[in-house]
Amino acid sequence: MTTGSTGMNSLEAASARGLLRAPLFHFLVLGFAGFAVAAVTRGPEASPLAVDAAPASPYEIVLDSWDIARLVSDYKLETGLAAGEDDKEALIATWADEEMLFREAMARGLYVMDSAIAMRLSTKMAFLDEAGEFSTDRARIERAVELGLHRDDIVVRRILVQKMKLVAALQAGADKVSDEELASWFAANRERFRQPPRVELEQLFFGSDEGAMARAGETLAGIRSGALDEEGARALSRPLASSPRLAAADENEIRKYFGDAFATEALTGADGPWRGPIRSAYGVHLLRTSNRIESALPGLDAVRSAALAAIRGEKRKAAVEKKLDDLRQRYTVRVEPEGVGLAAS
Amino acid sequence: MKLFIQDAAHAAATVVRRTASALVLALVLAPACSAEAAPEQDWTRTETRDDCADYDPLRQPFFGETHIHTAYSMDALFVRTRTDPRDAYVFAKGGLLDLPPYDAGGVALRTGQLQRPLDFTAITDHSEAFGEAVHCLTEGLEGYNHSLCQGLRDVIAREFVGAPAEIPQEFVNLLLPLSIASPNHLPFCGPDDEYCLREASLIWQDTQEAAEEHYDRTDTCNFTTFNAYEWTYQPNQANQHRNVIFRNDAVPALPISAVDANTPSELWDMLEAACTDGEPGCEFLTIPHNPNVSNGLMFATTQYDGTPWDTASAERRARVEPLVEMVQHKGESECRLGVGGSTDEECGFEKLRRLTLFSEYTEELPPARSYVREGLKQGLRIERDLGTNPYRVGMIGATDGHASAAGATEEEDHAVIGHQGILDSLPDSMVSPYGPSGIQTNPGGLAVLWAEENSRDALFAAMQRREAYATSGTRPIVRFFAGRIPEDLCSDPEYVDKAYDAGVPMGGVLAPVNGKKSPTFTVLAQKDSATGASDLQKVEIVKLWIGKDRLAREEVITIAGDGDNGASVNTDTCEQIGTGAESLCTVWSDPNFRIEQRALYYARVIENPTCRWSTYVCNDAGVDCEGEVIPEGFEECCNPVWPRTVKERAYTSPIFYTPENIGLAKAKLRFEESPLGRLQAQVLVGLAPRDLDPAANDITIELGDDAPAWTGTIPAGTLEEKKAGRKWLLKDPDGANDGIRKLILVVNGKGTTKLKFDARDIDVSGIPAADGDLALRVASGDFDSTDTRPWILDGSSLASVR
Repeated sequence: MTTGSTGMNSLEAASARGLLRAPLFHFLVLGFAGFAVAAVTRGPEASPLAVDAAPASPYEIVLDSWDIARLVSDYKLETGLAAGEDDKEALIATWADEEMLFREAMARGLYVMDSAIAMRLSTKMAFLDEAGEFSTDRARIERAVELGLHRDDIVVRRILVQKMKLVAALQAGADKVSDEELASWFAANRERFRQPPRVELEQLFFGSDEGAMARAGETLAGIRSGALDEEGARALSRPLASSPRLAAADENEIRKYFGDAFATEALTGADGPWRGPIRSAYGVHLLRTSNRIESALPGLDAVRSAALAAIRGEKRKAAVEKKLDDLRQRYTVRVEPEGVGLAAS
Repeated sequence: MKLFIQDAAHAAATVVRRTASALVLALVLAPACSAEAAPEQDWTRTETRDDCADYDPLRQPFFGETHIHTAYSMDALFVRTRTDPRDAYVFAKGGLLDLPPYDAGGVALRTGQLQRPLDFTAITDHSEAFGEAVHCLTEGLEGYNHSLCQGLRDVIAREFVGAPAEIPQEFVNLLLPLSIASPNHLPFCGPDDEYCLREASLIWQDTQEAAEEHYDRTDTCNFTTFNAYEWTYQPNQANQHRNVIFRNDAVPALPISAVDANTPSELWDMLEAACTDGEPGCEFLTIPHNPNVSNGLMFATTQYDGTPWDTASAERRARVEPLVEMVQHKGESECRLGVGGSTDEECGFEKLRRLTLFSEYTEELPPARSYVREGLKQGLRIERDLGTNPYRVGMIGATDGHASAAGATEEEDHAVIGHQGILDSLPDSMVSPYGPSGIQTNPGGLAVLWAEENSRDALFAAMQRREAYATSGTRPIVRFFAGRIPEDLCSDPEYVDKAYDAGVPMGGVLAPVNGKKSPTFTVLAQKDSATGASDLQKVEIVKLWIGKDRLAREEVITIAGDGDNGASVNTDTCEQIGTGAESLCTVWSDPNFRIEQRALYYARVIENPTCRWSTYVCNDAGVDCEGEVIPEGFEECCNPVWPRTVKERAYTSPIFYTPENIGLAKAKLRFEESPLGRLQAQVLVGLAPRDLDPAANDITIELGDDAPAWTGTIPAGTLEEKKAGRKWLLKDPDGANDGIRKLILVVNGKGTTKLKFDARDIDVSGIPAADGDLALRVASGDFDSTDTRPWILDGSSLASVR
């Protein structure tokens, strides 16, 4: 939610999904082929930061010192921070990226069928159209674009940048995840789903009084010699609020019930026979571990929905980055040492 | 086996169920299974996920957070929180969290981390301004250049030098439209609020996706997330907020915000329409917080809009609102010295000195029903008059933090992490006298749920049945049961099995299971297991009841430990002095129990004192109040209003003794020539249901296994009224009414009712002649009650155990 990043943040990602579900956007995608043809024939149009700046080729982005000053002051307004030289470069790069996306969006006609853009352009045009020459929304919108009214409208610009990111994500099929993709993503990211080691843990509690250690020791001796069976041993123990048996406890769970030292002991000692006495936060215990499950990586099926949620986010981000990389190859960014035209005066 | 009435999710409906207008006696035999002591699982799985390997039929305590805000909350933006729900989940699971301020490169200058991960978290961002927040921060959106948004960005951009004495005007301007009696979306939201709802829907979707990404659906069941949000209604700053929590991923398309719903009942109406009835599989519950700043409205004598409670409304509130936030960073809401006549010395804990959400400091006491204890009393009063208790709430704690730091409740950590973003980034700001941060506030608490496993279905069911407790932030483990608890249970290694077998757990509804004698109660409390955690000082029972004079009363009884154990703290070093108990366990019965008296009991577990969070801050700053070394900005450190130590604590959900229930005094079932038998029973009803009128209602007796094996009906008017309104009799040597030869119904002056009957030559072939649990059910019009207990075979008879 801060400036300085050209990737999609989570808000934009959500935004992508929302718009992708909207009927409006389905229309847009269906009509996409037609606009693509138009784009090839027309190419992107220049949309300089200041409409009065030096004419630039469709693939050239020009900023002057006045433009940069505005970026810096916007940044200050938004973050309260003065931009250093590095920050300035980042601000210019961000602006240039957005400008590329904006131009590409215009070239694809993405402004058509957007109710918010239509409303703004129509309203602006109606204001200028004193003679009432353009009687329909459509006519007003077309004229507004001819006049370039969309170029310095920050709302239109923002929406188009966002839409272009969506198109990039859509083109790359970011929301469609194939089984193969899922499998290969999962293979590369499996570690984040690693399950901790777990054991089945049974314990007998003997209290915290002076005799507890001795009673626990005697009970253990009784078990080992066969003089005490399990039931007999349990009868000598005392209750705790937790269950006497934890079916598959990891370190956090054992810590929760018994404290740090006990957890370490439980997880490092040998499985099988009763062992102890050991101390917990509450007193003295005997314990037995079994059915150890070593730390493991779950299968894909077990984490499919979480993986899909993560992978879609990553793909959307990557698709936008890829699109921007392509665009950066095609566009040049030129910084004029001084302002030109009206902006400099 | 299930004993008594413990289906808390439907408890209100169970105790006083409006079904048949007949007095029904049903004797149901369950399979003989004395070894099976675990409670019945009362939920089924509603989602696709692995079964949990760590399933425990005796239930486990899961520690979590039900109230945390991220950058998706407008007010969190004001304190410069930049982290989102994903970051909050990472923090809850033990990861690092970025905290403001940030440097020019966007790198956080502070980070925080929990000492121990949580088991579950519900992220509850304010739904009202979901969309507005995006507009204000996203250049190009319609609202971005609106003066309200510029105001927000101005505040964010200002150099932070300390907590301001007044809430920034920009904050007030922005949130005022959302804080009035009929809140509105902000003026830049466009026609029909379209612009803002469009963005809100994206935020809501992202909130859901974050929850999905962090929910552990594998068999490790390590972490559970909930889809949730906060309904933020606060007319004139009188807090009515509710956190809305959904059972699974079936949720409405948009949250129902305070713009949509202006009263709690409207909220529930709309949630029922959009969720319960509108979205397959959707279930919700709501959790109110901060009754302490509700101006007495959270537990009012009437419904919120002033209409009197009726049965349907009261039942609904009890059903959809099973819990209340007992403690959070804007103060603890249990009780207050002097409020409701309370002389409870432990009521001083973390009291916010404000009457409403953001009002001025005051020592004036808020209205009584701004505290949970008075709310619970009010619930008993309403139940007395109406037969249904709308305020049958259990207890949880939460933080309500606004910097994504879910479950950050440790006192010492709080001095570093805080809950209020930038406001807690400077030590003098943390201990400033000004709200919403500052020295008045505290680290908040945790919710603890007793559930079979760590999954959404299991945790949601625990919330619904109120098997939950609140802590003030530490992690003690507390069990609480009532029923026919054996006196020696605390030395019994099978404590938990037997307690479930013989009683109801916290949150449950209790019948007069011991007749006129008190039910028995047991608390088993263990200290927080962390290294260096405080010992326990004492366990108390808080009893609330309606007296003979119809006034609500309270009594606080120490049942274990020692409140005067001499433990203290060196507040210069925060070193604890003296010890307490690692664990405390006792079985207790109420010497003042009266079978006809409506009451509830909850347990409070108090720890030895430790340093309050502010003492760490003040000590670090070199404050020495006695030596009069008080650096500028730290004056409040030496204000005696703020204690230097605290006694952390846990509060269990109450067990509700409801006298309109039966307890089986004695009963015998004799097996005669197969398939015939004879049943004789004597039943006590603590308080006769008001419409108990054998002249108007049929009497039906049922005897059977899962399905009735034998049914007897005595039509209305069959009983002979021997004493007007007090005593009725049936003598019928022929047993024309399904074998019932004799039946006596006696109501004494206090309303306690004795019911004796003798049924002969009835078909008992459906009941095995063996030891086992039997359930006796009595119902009459508004009345429906069940008694379950072991029956023991003695020769050719089964006799109920006392």
